[in-house]
Amino acid sequence: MRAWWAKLCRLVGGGQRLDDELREEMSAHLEFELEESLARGLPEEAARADARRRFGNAAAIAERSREAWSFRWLAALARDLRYGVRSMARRPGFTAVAVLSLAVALGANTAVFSFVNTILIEKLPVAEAGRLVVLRQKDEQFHMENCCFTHPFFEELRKQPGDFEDLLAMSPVDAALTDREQTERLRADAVSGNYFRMLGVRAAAGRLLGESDDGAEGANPVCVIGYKLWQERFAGDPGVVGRRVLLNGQPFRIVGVSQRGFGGASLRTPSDLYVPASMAETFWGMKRDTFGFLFLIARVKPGVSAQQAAARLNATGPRIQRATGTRIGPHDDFLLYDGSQGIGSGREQLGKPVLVLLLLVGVLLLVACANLAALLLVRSVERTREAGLRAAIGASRAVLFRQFLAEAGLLAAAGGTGGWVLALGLIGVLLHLLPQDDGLTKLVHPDGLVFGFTAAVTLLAGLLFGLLPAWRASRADPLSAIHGAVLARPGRRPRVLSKVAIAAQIALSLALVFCAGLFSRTLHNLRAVDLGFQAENVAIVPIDLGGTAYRTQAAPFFTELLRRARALPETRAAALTQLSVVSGSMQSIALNVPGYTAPNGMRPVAYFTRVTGGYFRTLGTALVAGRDFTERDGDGRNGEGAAIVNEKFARQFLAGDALGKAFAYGGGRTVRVVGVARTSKFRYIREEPQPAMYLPIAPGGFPDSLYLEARTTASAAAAIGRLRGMVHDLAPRVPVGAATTMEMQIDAALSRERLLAFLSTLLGGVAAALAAVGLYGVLSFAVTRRTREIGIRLSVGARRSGIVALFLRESAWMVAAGVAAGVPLMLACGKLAGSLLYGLQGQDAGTAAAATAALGLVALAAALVPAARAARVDPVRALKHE
Amino acid sequence: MSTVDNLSEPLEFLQGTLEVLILRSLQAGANHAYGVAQFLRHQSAEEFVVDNGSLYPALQRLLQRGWIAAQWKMSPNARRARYYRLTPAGRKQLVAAESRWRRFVEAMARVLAPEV
Repeated sequence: MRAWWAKLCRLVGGGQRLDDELREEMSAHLEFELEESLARGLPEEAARADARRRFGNAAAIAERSREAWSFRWLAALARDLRYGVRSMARRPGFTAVAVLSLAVALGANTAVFSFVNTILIEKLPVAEAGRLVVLRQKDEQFHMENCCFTHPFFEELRKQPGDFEDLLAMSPVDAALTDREQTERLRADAVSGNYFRMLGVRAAAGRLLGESDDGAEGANPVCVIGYKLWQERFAGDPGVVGRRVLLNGQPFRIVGVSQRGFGGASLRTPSDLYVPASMAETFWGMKRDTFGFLFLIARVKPGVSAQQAAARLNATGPRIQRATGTRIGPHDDFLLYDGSQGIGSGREQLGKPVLVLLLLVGVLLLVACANLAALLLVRSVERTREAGLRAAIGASRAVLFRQFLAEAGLLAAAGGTGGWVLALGLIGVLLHLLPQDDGLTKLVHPDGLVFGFTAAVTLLAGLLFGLLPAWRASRADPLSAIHGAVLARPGRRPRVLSKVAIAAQIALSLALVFCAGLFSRTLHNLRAVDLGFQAENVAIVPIDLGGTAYRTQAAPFFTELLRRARALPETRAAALTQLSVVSGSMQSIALNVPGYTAPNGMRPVAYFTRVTGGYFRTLGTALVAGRDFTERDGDGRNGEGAAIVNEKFARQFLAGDALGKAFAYGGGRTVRVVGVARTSKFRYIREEPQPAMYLPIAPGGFPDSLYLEARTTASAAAAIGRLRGMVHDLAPRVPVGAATTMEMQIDAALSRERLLAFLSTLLGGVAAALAAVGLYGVLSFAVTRRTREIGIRLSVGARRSGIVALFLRESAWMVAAGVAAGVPLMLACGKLAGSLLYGLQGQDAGTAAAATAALGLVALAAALVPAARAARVDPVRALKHE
Repeated sequence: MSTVDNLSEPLEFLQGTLEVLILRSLQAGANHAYGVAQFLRHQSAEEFVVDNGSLYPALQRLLQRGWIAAQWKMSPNARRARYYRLTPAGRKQLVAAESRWRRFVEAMARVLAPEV
């Protein structure tokens, strides 16, 4: 203990004093030896030499004594680091390239890992989140997955013994909270009675909701508010418990506040308020037991896998569904998704892209490491003389090894720090590329785990690019180093190793450039896709009358709105529609088409939306037959109505000749086809052509919520303001949602592809640049080393073009080896990217050829500079050089 | 032919023996590094030639463990030198080491020259 303390004191304060003491002690010792030599009668000069010989290597003795003093490694580390900083400062160009390339690579890794962390790793702050699963069900008839189940099904399923420890039901709802005359729209969860207990949430004040609150329908108008809402809206007032507020105009009593940090059962879209599911009618306008609106989240028993649970659920679930009045098909299987992030985690949508991105940035880091390893190897040869000298004056191999490794560590640490700073900026850029409403913006932040990841990766990178050069340098041979023969006669190994590193770099860069090509062409293909409508100059203004006084006046309100919109000077055409296309939303409905039976025996299903006349003109979709809707057309609820179908619908269900044919939809409403429109993209840009039907918005059936879409003479973005103003003039209290343009909507739909294309291009570019720097560095060194040889060649008649060819050949071998190794990497990347691509295959030969050509050109440019320098060597000066 | 068999070569130190020898050399009184080396050479009849590369680190290690203490003093020939002396802990250590060493030597002797 005392010894440790003494060591620490010496390390902190007394290092220099100890050094002085040792030096003085040794010089006194030398004097004793000298006296002894003189006493033996040696002449002064010889006596001095004899004393020194007998005393030994003073530097080595001091070095070994010092090791006994302090925390050896700590002191040595401090010394190595000081030395490393000096050595880095001596070569600012190299240091700048090294630190910058590492910072970019580590920054990209940190930024992407932040997304991986948020999208794939983070969990809900609830009990045992890892064992939560979200129940969904295939719907074969509508080609979709069903998220929601009925209340009777939930109640019955809970009673079944099975693989679930517990099962909760919840439904996200929009609630208008009115307190003291102020109304605020909130995201609320309608929850089952066991919700809080199952999630292990405690109350910050009052009590939480329990089974007794979720009993008879409509009997318990109570709510729990979230901690955040409590602090922000009610200033943390404990008196809020027991307060009466209005939710969607109905009185509710606040019974408690949920604990801090809990934001509901969805990590992505936090909730502010909780009401019992028994109060569903307040929010949905429908009786609780009549429709499927509940998300089900279960906690599986320990040791049971989601697959096992799903298999057993498929045995019991459908039976309960049929018994509780839900119609399902024979192949409508239940699916259990990971529920550790609750509902709507966005994992399915973004999980794969971020993993692909993580792989790409990982490859970039490898490229940066290979680059640095190559450059450091070259430097280790340049520094053989220095290392040899140090070995000659007593530095051991271990010391040299540690020294060079410490320099690598310093580079890595500087790169890691720079990378962290860079990552913060890069995260902002990436968030900007994603759709703004994705809810990620608030969630992606580099936390402790991300920091740990960065630190670990930085350390690993430092070892990866530092070990080999350090090992090389520690093998320095003192004798040849001092003879200065290094540049003339280097060992073969470092040259071979640095060439291998360059080839590896080219292989990895090739894979990255190839990916960049795949994703860029995917984005290009999607942009070039024939949408079936004209996206330019279309403004989209969503209007929701729900919860306003206009709700009962929807027909006159919207009719007047449309009239005014059409009267604006910049409007060329305007219409109302229930759905905005390619926004990811859709409705589909089952049909009854006389004379048509689907191959699987089920009823045919088509996408549908309700539109006013002028819709097709507004979107620029051609009507290939028949006519547009007029105000006299009905939707079938009062006698036969009218419908317009797309060509795909006509071909698939009506044998191509659709005009004038009648069919039924929904609960038996009959419509007759009055027009056929060109098939256009409906839900997604990537979708195959789908049958779709358009119904007229009839006076009796105006929905509460519609999109006003207008084709404008000039920029649609500029017209948005006018349109919003117009809505406000007509009805100041109607909230206008986030207005957009069709082009912005398409941009948002392609955000994932844009993100991948942007990032992979960036990474590919950086990797190619690094490969170029590495090749340049290694070749330039070769030119310096062989200056004498070049001089000889030139003086015996070699042509300068021959010298250029000599060096280009040398680099061509590295590039060729890199390309050969890059081909399987490209294939692997293509396979991985497969499902994210559009309009081309993962093993697209054209893209591979283009990537190879691009990288070849970059490599050629990087090699030409040193090769040209070699050709300019002056033979006379080169030969006089040594 | 290995070095140990060559009688003209000085004996090599076994691991840890040098430290015991230093402690023993200081039992007679405080001494400086040169003096310690001289003492060991003379006492071992020139068998132990202490390499300074081993002596100095060993002294530092003993200082670290608190078995010896150091002090700058004037030598008899009026030269300033660093004198080491045994601390009580060092003295105790020496006693223990001596008895261990005797047992070791006896055991070695029995093995190498067994009585028939």
